[in-house]
Amino acid sequence: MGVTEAFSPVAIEPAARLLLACTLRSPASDARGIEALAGAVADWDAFLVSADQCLAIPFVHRHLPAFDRFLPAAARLRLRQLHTAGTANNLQLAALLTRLHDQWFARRAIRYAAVKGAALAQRFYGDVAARTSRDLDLLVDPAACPATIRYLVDAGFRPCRGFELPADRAKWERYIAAMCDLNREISLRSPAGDLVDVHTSLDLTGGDFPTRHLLSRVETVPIFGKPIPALSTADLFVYLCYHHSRHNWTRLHWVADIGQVTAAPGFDAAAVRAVARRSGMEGLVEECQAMLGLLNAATRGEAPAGRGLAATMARQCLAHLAPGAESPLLAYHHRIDDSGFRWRHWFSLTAEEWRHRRGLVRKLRTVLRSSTPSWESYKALPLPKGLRWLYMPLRTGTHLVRHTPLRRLTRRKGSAAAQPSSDATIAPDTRG
Amino acid sequence: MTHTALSEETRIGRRETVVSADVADDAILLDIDSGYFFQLNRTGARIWSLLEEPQTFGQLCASLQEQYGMEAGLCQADVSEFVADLNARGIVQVDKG
Repeated sequence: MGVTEAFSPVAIEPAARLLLACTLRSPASDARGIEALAGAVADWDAFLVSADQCLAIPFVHRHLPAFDRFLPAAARLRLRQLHTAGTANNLQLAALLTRLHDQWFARRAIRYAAVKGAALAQRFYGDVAARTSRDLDLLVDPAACPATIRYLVDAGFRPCRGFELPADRAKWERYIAAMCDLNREISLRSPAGDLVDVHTSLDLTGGDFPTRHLLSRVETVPIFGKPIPALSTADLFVYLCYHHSRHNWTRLHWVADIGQVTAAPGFDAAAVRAVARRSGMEGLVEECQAMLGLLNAATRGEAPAGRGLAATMARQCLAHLAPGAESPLLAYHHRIDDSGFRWRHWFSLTAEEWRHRRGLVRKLRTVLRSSTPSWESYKALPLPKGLRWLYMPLRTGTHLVRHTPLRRLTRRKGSAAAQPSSDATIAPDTRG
Repeated sequence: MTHTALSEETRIGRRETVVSADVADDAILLDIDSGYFFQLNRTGARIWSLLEEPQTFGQLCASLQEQYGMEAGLCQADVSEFVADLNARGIVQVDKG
């Protein structure tokens, strides 16, 4: 993961080419092209594992008639099971979205937008089940965040991924207010087990995608007869480029999203460019579109060449289709105790963030991501609102200790600050 | 299972609380209120698809007879049993008019 591995040569296995062909709207995606690629796949079990990991099962299943004759019976059954389970999960998430819309957001006239997930699937794939959704991402008016979290908690949702509430209910109000004040994303698990991420901002500092602007331009997507507000197509497209690039295109449904949205009737390239320009991401958006062309070529076995961003992103995507590819999150956690790795990792991510943006101010803002206060900081040291600015120097200092050789010095001296197990700054999002 | 006597004029429609998605020839149904999932086979999915717009039992049977070439009596008996099952599970609503 990261830019250091971006230039590694990538051999494109037949299984990876088939996965890509199923995902993309390319010439190789017609029945004859799929059939030709399927004939070269040797290990269908490994293919399905990879398809599942890359969240490409609906795309693979859609093309089943074209390669059915190559598929062993056990693999066919497995594909069917995975697709059925995924469809059920997508339905459940979409139903949850409509229920929250009806019972909370619409009733209280709270401004919000569904980000990606079911709304994207319905709007650009024509069916909530046509694309894998793993969770429900909601961008909520920051002013309504505490009330929304409280409503969800009262409805049986359980804050998770580090946002667990204390046993003492008397503290909840204060904790929830601090959570919303300090974090741009709060995760909760529904009583049925669905993950809901409540966002008050879609980027690290709130500067690239101002929530107020996004919510003022929402468009409506009908889901199960309910008018669900979703990001405008232009905002969504730029956000997809930003988000998926940060995550190195490790999931194929992200690649498919770019193709689907671009091909949608009414896709306004000029509007997308205007939004991208405001965020300094016009270059990134162009490169993401160019990446699709390179991945299309990869279905023919042509490895992406060159040091451009499009080629780098295409190689990152292909790297995760290779057999035994390790997910970035897993790789991060495997090496987290190596301070040298963390230091390189931080620089690598920062370099990527810089590469994705134009404009010095925007680039510099990405450096601030490691210093912005977080809920983790509050949990370690609860400060009243007026003193929370102190988290910035404290967090910066902690990061310096964690990510630099300073850590070794402090460890020799027995400083508690150097102990990784009690580190309060490890956020679930390793990109933060 | 409780059987509901269905006449030709009995109107059958999907319940608003049930949402669905197609999986190849089958259909997955989710009752939003209860959280229960149901899976329909190819024929059940076809009936579910026909019920996208509410229709009478007579219309439903006529469509299926035309599609599958079934004998009228047998078709009515099978569909009646299936619809009664869906009704008992709260998946469709049956209005005898």
